[in-house]
Amino acid sequence: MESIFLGKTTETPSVRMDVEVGIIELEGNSYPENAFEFYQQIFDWIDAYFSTGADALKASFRLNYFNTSSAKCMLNFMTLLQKYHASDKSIAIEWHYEVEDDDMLEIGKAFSVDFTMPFSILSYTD
Amino acid sequence: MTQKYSPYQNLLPALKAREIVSYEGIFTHEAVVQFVQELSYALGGEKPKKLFVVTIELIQNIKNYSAEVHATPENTQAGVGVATVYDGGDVFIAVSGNVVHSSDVERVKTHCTKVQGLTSQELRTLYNEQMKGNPPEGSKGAGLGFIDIAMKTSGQVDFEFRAFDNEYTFFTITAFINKL
Repeated sequence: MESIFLGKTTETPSVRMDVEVGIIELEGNSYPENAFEFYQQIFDWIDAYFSTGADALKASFRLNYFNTSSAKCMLNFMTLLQKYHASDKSIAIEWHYEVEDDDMLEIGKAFSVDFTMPFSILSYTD
Repeated sequence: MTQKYSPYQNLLPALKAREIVSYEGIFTHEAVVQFVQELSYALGGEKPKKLFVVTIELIQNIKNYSAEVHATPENTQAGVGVATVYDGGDVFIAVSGNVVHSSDVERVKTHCTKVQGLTSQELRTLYNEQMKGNPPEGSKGAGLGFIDIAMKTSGQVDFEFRAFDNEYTFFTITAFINKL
């Protein structure tokens, strides 16, 4: 099981998947040609991470803007993490939004209502 | 809404002078990314997120759903169409156009008309419901595109179908994004 770092591109966020500290961090824009394919590699990593016996994961989202296919993938992302939360893993979500970006705030709020895992919504200024 | 913005049809030729970015041709993934980058360069330091999100939805829509399709070496979909972003003073105007199969017109028209009639709260509810459901038939993405555009434009979005013949129809979406 290895940590993985995917560099940021114009249309995909940087993704840091760190085994040592149990953290997954996304930062940037997201409108890949195939969002489902892009996010599947992250979901596969999460499944592999927990299959090694790890018991905690913090997931941090700091996205500038994303397309609707990526939004659907975010929901799948949350659903996957909620599944591990339900099986007694320690999950913590940080949803970052830029101050005055009401769209990103509203999406975070909707997720925080729909899922019972610990969910923090944090603002930042660029 | 349609009444309020009906003058745009006559206005658009005059707006040509304030065209920010325009592209007509094959929308490969590379062309999509390039279009967004050109928009970013043209706007300088200004990065209005709603404009970017709406523009991306419009041009990925051309890429994925245009009835005029080019094969790419990677075997991915690359639809043909035209997209332009205008500076309309208080608003940005993003326009997309592409050919669709006439047999799809009723389905798309029904969806777009329904979305146009919704309040912002109803849009958000529909968006959340649709995101959780399975993609509608004929959709390669999440079927959320037009709903998202309506949300980001506060309902200021128009669409038009112009039939060429029984087989093909030209589909245009015009989105108005407030600057403030």
